[in-house]
Amino acid sequence: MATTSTSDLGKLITDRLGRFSELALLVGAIVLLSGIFTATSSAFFSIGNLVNIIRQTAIVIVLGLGMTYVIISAEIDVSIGGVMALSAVSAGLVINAVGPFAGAVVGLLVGLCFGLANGLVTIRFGIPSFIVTIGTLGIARGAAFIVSQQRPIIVRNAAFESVFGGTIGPVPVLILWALGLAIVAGIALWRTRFGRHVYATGDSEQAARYSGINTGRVKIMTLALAGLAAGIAGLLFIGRLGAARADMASGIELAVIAAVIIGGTSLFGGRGSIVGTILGALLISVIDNGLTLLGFGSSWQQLIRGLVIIAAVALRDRDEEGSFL
Amino acid sequence: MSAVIELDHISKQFGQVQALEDVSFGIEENEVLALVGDNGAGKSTLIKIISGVLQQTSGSIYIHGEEAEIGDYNDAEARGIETVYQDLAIAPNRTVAQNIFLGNEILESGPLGKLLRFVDDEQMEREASELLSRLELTLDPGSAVKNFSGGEQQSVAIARALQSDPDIVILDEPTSALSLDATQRVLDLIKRLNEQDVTIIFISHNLEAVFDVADRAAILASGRLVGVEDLTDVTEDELVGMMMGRARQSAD
Repeated sequence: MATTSTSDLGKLITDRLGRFSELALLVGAIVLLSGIFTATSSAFFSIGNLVNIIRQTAIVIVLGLGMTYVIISAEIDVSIGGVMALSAVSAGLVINAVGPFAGAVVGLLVGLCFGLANGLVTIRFGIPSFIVTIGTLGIARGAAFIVSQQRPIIVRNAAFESVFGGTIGPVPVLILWALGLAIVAGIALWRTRFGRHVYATGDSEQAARYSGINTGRVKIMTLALAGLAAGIAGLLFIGRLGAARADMASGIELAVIAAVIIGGTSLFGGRGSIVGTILGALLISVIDNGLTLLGFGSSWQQLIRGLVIIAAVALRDRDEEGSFL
Repeated sequence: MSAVIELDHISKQFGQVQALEDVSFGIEENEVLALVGDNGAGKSTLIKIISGVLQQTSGSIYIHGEEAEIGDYNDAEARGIETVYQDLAIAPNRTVAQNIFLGNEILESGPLGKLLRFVDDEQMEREASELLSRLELTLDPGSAVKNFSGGEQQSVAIARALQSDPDIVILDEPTSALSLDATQRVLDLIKRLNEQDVTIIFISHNLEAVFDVADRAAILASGRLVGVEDLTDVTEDELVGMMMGRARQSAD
């Protein structure tokens, strides 16, 4: 019955290419900015600085993996910075008191439990996840200060550092963790039934529910994953700096949400990718790093990051029916 | 013909409101039965009971002669009942094939065998293609549903209902949001389905459409069944009268 007209064909082509052109545009923006920074600062294009950029990006990427799942399922989690800090100080204390394995398990469990709690409260009580996670952000951050007695927890443990810190050859272990986790998260999102249900739940919760998908459970699981990612990020943070502090990564949730959104994930749910999140995080890091080298402080970085988010979303969503370009 | 579904004294109460009262009739095998009535007549409540979204306060449902408890969507699907809802329950950013297999994805073996299985997009697109061509629909199964018109999107929703090979498909106002042209295409699709031995319950305000595709009409008014009429025996005016709650003159 229904035939495909020429304009429909055009839409089909832009639809299929749209996702790739979005990613290509991000790569283009990263290359262009890198070119500008290389031309304006001699320090930018050095191995040391590029590794530094990727290292700075790694923790945002790890947090962004969970956040990508959450936002695709049309929820949000603003608690990850606090949860990461609580995971890190708890893990640090247990590593020092018991050992590295127990510490790592505690760090992961703290993250997972907070994520699960976010999900359960959001779904069972019907409270928007934005509100719930503002609450748990405060709870986790406050608990981190109480648990650490407002002191930095110094962690000196060779076994822990060899797994979560240091380098393998020239490559920081942190980057390998981020890459490995991104591959797992990307494949799970793209190729598993659960991943498809995450997309469907965010795209049309009603359609997903009418198809027998337990959308509440899907959302609880995405929020739990975001918590688990915060736990992993907490361990990686200790591995990188050899210490955990209650005030660490303050405001990181905004950088993570920005990376996910710039990477093409729709705040309305149903669309997005792990590759996009990685590119979004890299773009933000390149901007931050280049501005630092040019002598612009964090105030300028925040200002420009804000402009980039608005520009990216405005460009992409100006025509919801069509594609980005 | 034998009754696929037999509704036996179905009543539904929401607090003080009696949405359905003592409704009994049967849906015959391979017929298109239109469920008609004014707003608030109880049509939606009745199909929600048949499709497991709501449970009746009293009364019984028999499917192929056997009493059936339809507690949720999965019970309905297991009994061979699929519903296409009025509000186009499709995921717009997902492809046609992904929508058709939503919640019922085909899996292939992953690297860890049955422990980790991946969705098989190629197989889903192939099977979606076969299903679409059986319905004479020329839609690209790999394209996002949002790229299609309202009528085409409705066709995807109907195709999805057919994916599990149901005995009965309930269509809730499938043409209410469509243009005249798209309405006719969906009605043609309903006729083709019926030719393929699918029993259809068709809810519509559009009496022209009802007379076009349906064999019989069950008329509800204020939660009560006014009658079940063979559409070759009744005029549109008589049907409207019955929808207003008047029993048919000639039947008196």
